[in-house]
Amino acid sequence: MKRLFLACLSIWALIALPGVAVAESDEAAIVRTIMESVNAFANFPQTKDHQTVARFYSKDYFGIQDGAVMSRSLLDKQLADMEKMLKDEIPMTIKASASNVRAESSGVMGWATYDVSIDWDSSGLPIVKGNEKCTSLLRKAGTQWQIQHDHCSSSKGQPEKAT
Amino acid sequence: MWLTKTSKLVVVGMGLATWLFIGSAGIGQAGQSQIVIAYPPVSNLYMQQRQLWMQNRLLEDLSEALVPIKWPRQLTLMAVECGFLANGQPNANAFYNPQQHSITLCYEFADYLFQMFSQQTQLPQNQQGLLFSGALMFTILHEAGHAVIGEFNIPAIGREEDAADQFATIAFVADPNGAQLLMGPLWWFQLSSQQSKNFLGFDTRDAIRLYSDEHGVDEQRFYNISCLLYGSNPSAHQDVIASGMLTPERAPRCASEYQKIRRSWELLLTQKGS
Repeated sequence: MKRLFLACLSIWALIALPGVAVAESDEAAIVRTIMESVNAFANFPQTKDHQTVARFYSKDYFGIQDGAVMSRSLLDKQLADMEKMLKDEIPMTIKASASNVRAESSGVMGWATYDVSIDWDSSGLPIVKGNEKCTSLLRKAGTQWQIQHDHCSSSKGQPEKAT
Repeated sequence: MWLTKTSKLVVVGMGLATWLFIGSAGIGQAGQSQIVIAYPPVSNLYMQQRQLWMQNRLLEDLSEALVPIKWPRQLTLMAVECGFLANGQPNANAFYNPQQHSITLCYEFADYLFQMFSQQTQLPQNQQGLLFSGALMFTILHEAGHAVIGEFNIPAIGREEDAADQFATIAFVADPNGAQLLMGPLWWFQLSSQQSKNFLGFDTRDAIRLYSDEHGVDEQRFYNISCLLYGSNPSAHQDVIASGMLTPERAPRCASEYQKIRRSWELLLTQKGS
């Protein structure tokens, strides 16, 4: 039991070492940012607060989804419209999740690739349903990572195996 | 709060003769060769931690919790990167897998405990480290309890999570310094229950998730462990009642509860080993 105790204490000390704790890792923070941004969107019908989603995006954000451009102002408008609908008790359901998130970083820039599954309907009518492959560019602002650009395309079938 | 009066965590020497060494056929003979250690590859998130764990042979030392038991087959203890849950939170977990005959400790779980205890800035760092160590030791012994039930095919009537908590608690209180280290899991469950209360006030889905979980709610785990600690030696652990870690209503039954649970484990392990 002495070894067990000392091993646990060593783990404490190792995690406390600067640069070892994953909480300090930029890659982990990027992965978490992506997961939380998708999760925030999925929870939008419950939170009814567009800031819970918008906070993940930089002021100069722009994105492309299946060829359609989304600017920061368009994003804000869309989220505000959704918020109004939700506050007017218009039914809306969003099931969204991110998976296979892979992240890298260099300095204040980071990037991530990931899959998104989304099933979004309002008043029983489907708005978006399907799977998408996404790439995001992120920028570190203080201690927070924000999405500056992303590009998502609908995906069908399984990805080809890498050779 | 409950624990501030009892958190005199001074660990002096760890001459730990553990309950696990009780003389029965099933346990008591060191089974080092029965324990296999594994450090599967990880992503760059945990590359450095994995390397440090391997260099310092941390899993090899953690396996001390398992070595006294004469396992019927090889048991693997591994440190794994467990990734993220759908809600974006790290998969901070530790678990026994009966199909693989393995106990997995996620690096994320060690991070989770670290985050929790390092935020207790009202405590000096050495106490944070001792609470962390107690909580991690409890987790390993809790999973060892699951593994004993699974590998020896011991019938667990009622919630197996409670049985695993009992197994770990009895192992702690059998040690001269165990009561102090047991403050680690007690703090953990107290802090976690405070978070749960926030959940309960916020979102019914979280309440459902909490109550439908295979584990007892954190308050129950807290009081059950406190009861066993007190029951193991009531005269030595009066402070458990005085500090509010145990209600005076339940306290009188804790000694018999402790004896009954300890006898049950010993009987089952002896039978399985004979």
